[in-house]
Amino acid sequence: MGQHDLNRRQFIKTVGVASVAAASMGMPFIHAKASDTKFQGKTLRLLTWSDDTGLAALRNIAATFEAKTGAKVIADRTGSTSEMVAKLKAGGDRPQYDIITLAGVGAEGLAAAGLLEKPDLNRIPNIVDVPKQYQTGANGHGIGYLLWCNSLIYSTRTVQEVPNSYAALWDKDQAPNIFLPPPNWTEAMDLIIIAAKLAGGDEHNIEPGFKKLAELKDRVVTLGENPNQIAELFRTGSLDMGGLYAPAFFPKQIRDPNYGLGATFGMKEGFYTDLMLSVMPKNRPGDTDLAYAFLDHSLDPLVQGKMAEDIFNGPVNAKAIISAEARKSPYILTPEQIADKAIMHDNAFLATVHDQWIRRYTEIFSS
Amino acid sequence: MSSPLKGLIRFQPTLPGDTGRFAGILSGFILLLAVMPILTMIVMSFSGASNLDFPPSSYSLQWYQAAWKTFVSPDSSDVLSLGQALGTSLLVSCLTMVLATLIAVPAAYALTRCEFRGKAVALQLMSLPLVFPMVVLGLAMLLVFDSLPFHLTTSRLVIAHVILALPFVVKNCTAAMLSIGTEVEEAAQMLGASPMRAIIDVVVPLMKSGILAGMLLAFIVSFNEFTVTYFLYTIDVMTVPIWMYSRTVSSLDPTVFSFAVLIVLIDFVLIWALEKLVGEGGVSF
Amino acid sequence: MQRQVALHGAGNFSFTEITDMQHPNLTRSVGEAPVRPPRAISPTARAWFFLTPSMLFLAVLIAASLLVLRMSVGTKGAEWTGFSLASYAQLLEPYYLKSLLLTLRLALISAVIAVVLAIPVAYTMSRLQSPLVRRIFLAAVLLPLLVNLLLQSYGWLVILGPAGMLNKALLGLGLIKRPIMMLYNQNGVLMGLVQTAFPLAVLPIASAMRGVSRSFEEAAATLGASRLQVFRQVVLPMSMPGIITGATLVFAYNASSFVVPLLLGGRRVPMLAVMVHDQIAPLMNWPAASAAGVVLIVTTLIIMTLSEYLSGRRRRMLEASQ
Repeated sequence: MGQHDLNRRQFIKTVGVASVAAASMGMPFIHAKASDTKFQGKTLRLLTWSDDTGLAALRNIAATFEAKTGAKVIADRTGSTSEMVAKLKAGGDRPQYDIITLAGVGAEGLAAAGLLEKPDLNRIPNIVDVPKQYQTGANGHGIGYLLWCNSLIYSTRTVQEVPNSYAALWDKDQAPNIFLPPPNWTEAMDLIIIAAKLAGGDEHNIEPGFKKLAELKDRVVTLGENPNQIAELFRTGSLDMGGLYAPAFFPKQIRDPNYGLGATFGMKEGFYTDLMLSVMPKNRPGDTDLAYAFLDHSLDPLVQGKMAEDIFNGPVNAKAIISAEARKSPYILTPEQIADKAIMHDNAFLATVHDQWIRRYTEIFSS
Repeated sequence: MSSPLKGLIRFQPTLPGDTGRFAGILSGFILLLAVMPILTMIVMSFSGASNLDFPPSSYSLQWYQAAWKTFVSPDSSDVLSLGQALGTSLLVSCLTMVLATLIAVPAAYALTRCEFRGKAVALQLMSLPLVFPMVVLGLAMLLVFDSLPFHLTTSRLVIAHVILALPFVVKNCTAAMLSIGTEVEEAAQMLGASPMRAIIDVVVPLMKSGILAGMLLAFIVSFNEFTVTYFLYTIDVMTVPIWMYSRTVSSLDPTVFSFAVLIVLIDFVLIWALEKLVGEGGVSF
Repeated sequence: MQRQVALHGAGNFSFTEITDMQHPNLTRSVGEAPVRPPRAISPTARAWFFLTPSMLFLAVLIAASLLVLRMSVGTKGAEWTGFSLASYAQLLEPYYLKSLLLTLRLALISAVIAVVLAIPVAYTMSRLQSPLVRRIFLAAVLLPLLVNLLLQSYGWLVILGPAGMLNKALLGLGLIKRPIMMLYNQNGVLMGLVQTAFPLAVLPIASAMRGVSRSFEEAAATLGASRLQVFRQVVLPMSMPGIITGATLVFAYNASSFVVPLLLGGRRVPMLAVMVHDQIAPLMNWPAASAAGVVLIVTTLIIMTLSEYLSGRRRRMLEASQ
């Protein structure tokens, strides 16, 4: 009972009237291309997130795809939690979807269960503009389509200087009350690595990291399972800093001065990202050419730019078109910033230590 | 909620055996504490501000208007409207309530009135759904239903909900049956009733309050069940908690509280109606 | 337990049964069922006949339980074909043992608190005259279990949070210097556990108290007992089966609680169900999740059996003393 497992890929539904208006106008920027009739009348079944990433994907990817090809996209927009991956795995061999969009960890799980088909990259022309490391994930079973970017969140009221290093989290005077990500999120894994690096270790020499994290214990108010609770704690002055956490959780609150909420990607150590993937299940009800066309469309520079502006996450296409207006926002990342500062963890390596690290992290912060 | 309540308690006759004023006030206070977060939520749903400041700086119906809009003209991106989800929820909950009660009464009879081989096993089985961690149960049930050669949609939700509600209903019926001595049944049989008639005509009516408590719980368990339902719902059969989930994970504006107040209202009306139904028959709840 | 002799057909009557036939209400056997002449339908068959409809539904649950049991001895990636006891061995590590103990402790304390609070509420409910108050009471009892806990957790944040109403009041009165943390620790979890499971304690106890005939109370009062004495010496002992049932329900419900530690514990109170959940996703280690689940289920079942035994004995004692 209740709404648990608040998946981290949840966004505040405030992407602005502009994008909604654009969607209702049938996305004129892409409508001109509606000439190919090969897929007319065909149907693609898409499983995407229930939150605003999912909504944005419907507006910016599915709707424009329909306009371009004449195909129909039926979207199940309820797959936002990790239970959904468990659900897919349990009901695995039933053909339900042509394309599923999900996080790297989930894709790895489905791939390991042998439920995914390896896409042929030659059938996805737009992929040439995607830097190598963002092209595929889950051992080649997934095609990257956006970067989930994590920041340090801070209170603009109590933190005087915008932090420029993760070491700020350990600064008692600047940030007496902090929050950290919950152990089951990949953000927690990244934080462990950050702590290790600050203490002179790295992901293969992780012990110093746990020691360093333990120093934070008494100042940790909560492990932020629920972004809305976190925002409330900031608003009421009960938190000073926290992370890793995506600003995409708080677009509305960041704009509202009542919350005094700030976020920064500008750490000298770089910012941590997680590659979101599109995958093709082995058993698909629909047309394979159509599925490939959809994958290709999701990497279109225009679509990539719109997605980035819409939901504050990094585009994977290096040629993504971001408007001049959007470039001014500190929360909308450009391909250049990503090329410069983005750090991507090694999912395959993390999978080998995930269990142990979750335990250590849980133990350290148990109250 | 509490001030008229305490006033009424004070006017209770103080015959021996009637509620003592102390117990009444104490329980009023305990219940007030228990519903405190819900009261806060109700107040916030009337907030005129856009954040969760408490107490709100101004009051308005803006969030109810927003909620109403969602109700009458659902977002085209929603697969199902709240109305459809509500329909499904009510159907599933009613079926669950009726089925769970129909199977629980004979079960409770067997468990209280008969000594038989395998009783301990039966008792354990009945309480199994209570102790199953929900996520494991949801996953396991999905695996079971998927291995069936035929497809179930609404009915698999009903089956799962009946199982989840069963311990509550059985416990209530058992407790009620225990409070009725075997003598009434025996007396009925002495007067010529068959054993089955004695149960249906004498024991069951006496159990009414326990049965109704069980029915109510079955309905409530079903109406609010989330975790197991999450694994078992399909795209066209979605219940209100699932709908709410997909609406509310991402945003927290007081619209969500307005929806919650709507659900509270539905439950409140149900409790009211049920109480009224049995109240006239002299059965207290 | 006594059947009418006439129903038993011809046969050798025992003396007790003949007495029973004459005074069916006056003497009641205590403890075991009386010796009965053979009948066409055995009591076991009859009982299972009554249980059949529920067993049909529970078959799904049995199948699910067997699946979980099978998975728990599987290996990750080969849940149905592998065989290993590694998942169980892993549960012996301090990390899981500590979590199991914590879970049982919190469930137990929450059951005790819930029952203590439920007794006055249930007593009031069972004796209320006014239908209006009865309805409001019932609604107030049920609502905390009913309303989505995510939404309730915002309510708690407003009341008990570091900048909540209570802390503000205490600061204002000068009773504390710094806000005290009432959420995101074991106390917060405990409070949530009691609050959500409260109806599970109140309903069975109220049901049992309603069963205690008011005439008993009146008789005791006539004999000069004070109201408190009547309550302590008549009502409370006679509703003991309901109290034990209530406590057991709360315990069992809370032992597998997941949402409460998540939302009110700030993920810092590692109850076992939270760990089970981590194993299902993101770790996808279903054998580990199943094994932890099996241990949780078995432990709770043992405690429930114990309480069933206790309340059964209590009931028999009550019957004997009547």
